[in-house]
Amino acid sequence: MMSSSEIDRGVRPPVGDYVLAGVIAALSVTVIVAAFLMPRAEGWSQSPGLFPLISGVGLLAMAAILAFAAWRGRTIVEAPATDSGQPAEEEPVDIGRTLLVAASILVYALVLVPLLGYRIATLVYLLAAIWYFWRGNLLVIAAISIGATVFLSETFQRAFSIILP
Amino acid sequence: MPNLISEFQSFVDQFATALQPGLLVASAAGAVLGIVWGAMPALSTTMAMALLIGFSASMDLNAAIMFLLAVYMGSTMGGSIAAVFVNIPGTPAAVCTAMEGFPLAKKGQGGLALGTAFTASFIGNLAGLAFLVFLYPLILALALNIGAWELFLLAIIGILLTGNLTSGGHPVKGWISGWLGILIAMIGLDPVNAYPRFTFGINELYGGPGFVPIMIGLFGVAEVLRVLPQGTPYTIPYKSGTLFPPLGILGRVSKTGVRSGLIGAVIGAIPPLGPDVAAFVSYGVAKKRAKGAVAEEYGRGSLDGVAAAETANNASIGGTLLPMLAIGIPGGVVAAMYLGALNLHNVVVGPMIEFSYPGLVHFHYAALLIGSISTYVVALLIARPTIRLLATPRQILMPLLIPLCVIGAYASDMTMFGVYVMLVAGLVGFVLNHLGVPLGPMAMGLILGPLADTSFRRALAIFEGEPPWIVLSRPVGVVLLLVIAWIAYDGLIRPMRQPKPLRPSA
Repeated sequence: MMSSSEIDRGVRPPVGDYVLAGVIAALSVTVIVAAFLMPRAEGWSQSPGLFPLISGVGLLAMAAILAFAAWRGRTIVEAPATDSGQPAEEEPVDIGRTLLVAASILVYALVLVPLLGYRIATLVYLLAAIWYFWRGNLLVIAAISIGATVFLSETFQRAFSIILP
Repeated sequence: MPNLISEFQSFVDQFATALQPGLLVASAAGAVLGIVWGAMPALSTTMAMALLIGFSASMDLNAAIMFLLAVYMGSTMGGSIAAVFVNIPGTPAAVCTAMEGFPLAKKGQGGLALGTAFTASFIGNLAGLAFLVFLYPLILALALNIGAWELFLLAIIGILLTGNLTSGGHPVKGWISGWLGILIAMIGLDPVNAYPRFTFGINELYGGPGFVPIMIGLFGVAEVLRVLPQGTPYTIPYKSGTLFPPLGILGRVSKTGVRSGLIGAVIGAIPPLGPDVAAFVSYGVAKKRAKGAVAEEYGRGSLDGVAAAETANNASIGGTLLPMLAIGIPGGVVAAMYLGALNLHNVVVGPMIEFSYPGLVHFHYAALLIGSISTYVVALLIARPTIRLLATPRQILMPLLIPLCVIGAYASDMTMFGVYVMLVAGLVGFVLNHLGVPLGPMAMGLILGPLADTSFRRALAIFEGEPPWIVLSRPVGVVLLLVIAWIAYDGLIRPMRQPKPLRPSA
């Protein structure tokens, strides 16, 4: 018999798979409808909508397979796959901290950079983010933030001739 | 024979070009960045390439090739540093290295394990290069007989197979990822009729959302979102010892190295198997063939095992470039990104590359040779400071990546639109990753989608007026169709064969 901790780690009701299948199915239908609305003066063979149509139908079939597999209870929960496909050895997701990270990135990229320019925005972001997540010595944090900001902006401006945002 | 002489002359010319000081600096810089990047447990080769291809666009083509190939080789090699010293593979290809290298580090032989890993990686890089040099003409000859229909099938195989191999027990999730990549690649002006597809009236989308910002979002921002909220520190309590293995040990592992080099190069050439699969297969073969005292070392710290894994994962780099240069189908996700970088320089690889860009293939050989040497030398020089860098907390490392991501996405077209695309891709990538959807197939879909689209329509034009079973008259196409059928069968049947999970009772 599995202990509750084993159950938590290894298996969960496949709610995520149902949601994923639903979103993908909706996206597929939208793509198929959009494909039908594209011009096809000489029939489907050279229409710009042909490949979107095929892709949409394929994606819809995959959503159906995913939903069917979830319904059959075959979904085994693994750690989220990394880009290489290896399940990442993970701690459980801390939703609060994850949202905070996401919010800090959005504020930095969408508000601070357009408002203050790349250099000052980066300095402010690094000071705040490293201080909050690391909680180390303030002088060290300031040194890292200033050093990284100067290094990044100077390197990309001078070595790669990139105009900073 | 005259052909062989002119080929050799071309290689010598390109090698001389690659020896220019500026290009050597580009290779050395790529090696340093790649090794340090690969050594950091949270930073993958894929992420390194995603972030750096945008910057390589501002370099000239030769410098970009030298730089990116050195990054590719360096980060694959650098993965062994964290694997040996903190038992966390810097890249997934270094998992087997961790299994055998970390026990050696605990015995105070970490330096020996690392030195062996570096030497094996160097041998692997050379083996991959030799494989590429000898097989490229053969594959090119085959590629010249491949038509639009076969190209379409090859692109679909690349995407589907990446899905099968990266999604654990649920290949359909990998396929979905690949298909989403194809759909994203369709955004913008249709390459045949210049009809705007899925642009929603947004002018910036007419040229497509951009490969670079999407890659940075998927493999940079999404990774920061995944890793930064975690708080696990690393400790490096072990003395490293010498980095230079005695000749006796090198001689002992050289036999393994030759075999692993061949395995790695062959596996790398099969899209989309790559360094990860190469390392596992090679390690498995080496373990099975080991005898006596060498066999007993496996699992308790084996230099033979370290050499097998590291030679193979580096040899696969040359292998992944083989189908990419000859057919235009990248051998893996990182090679797909490298292909994207070449596209930024308006280079279209494939069977006509020798005519369109004379000498470019030979320049790749030269860049790989110089890159192999520069990564080996740089690795030995910076290994010790890099080991110290491993102690950098993720809470410092991860925030530093965000300004890098922003400037990388911005640099792709010098507008904030790239940054917006990157943010959307990052958030979507994080959610998909959390739902168990691998992101590698999406990169393959993005790069191979346009090829599949145009090839399919060209094939339809060629087949016009013929009955549908005309496709069965093309032997290569029939083989490729059978491969697709096998991939689909494997993907659909594999999850069904898994034991039904127990559910907690209420």
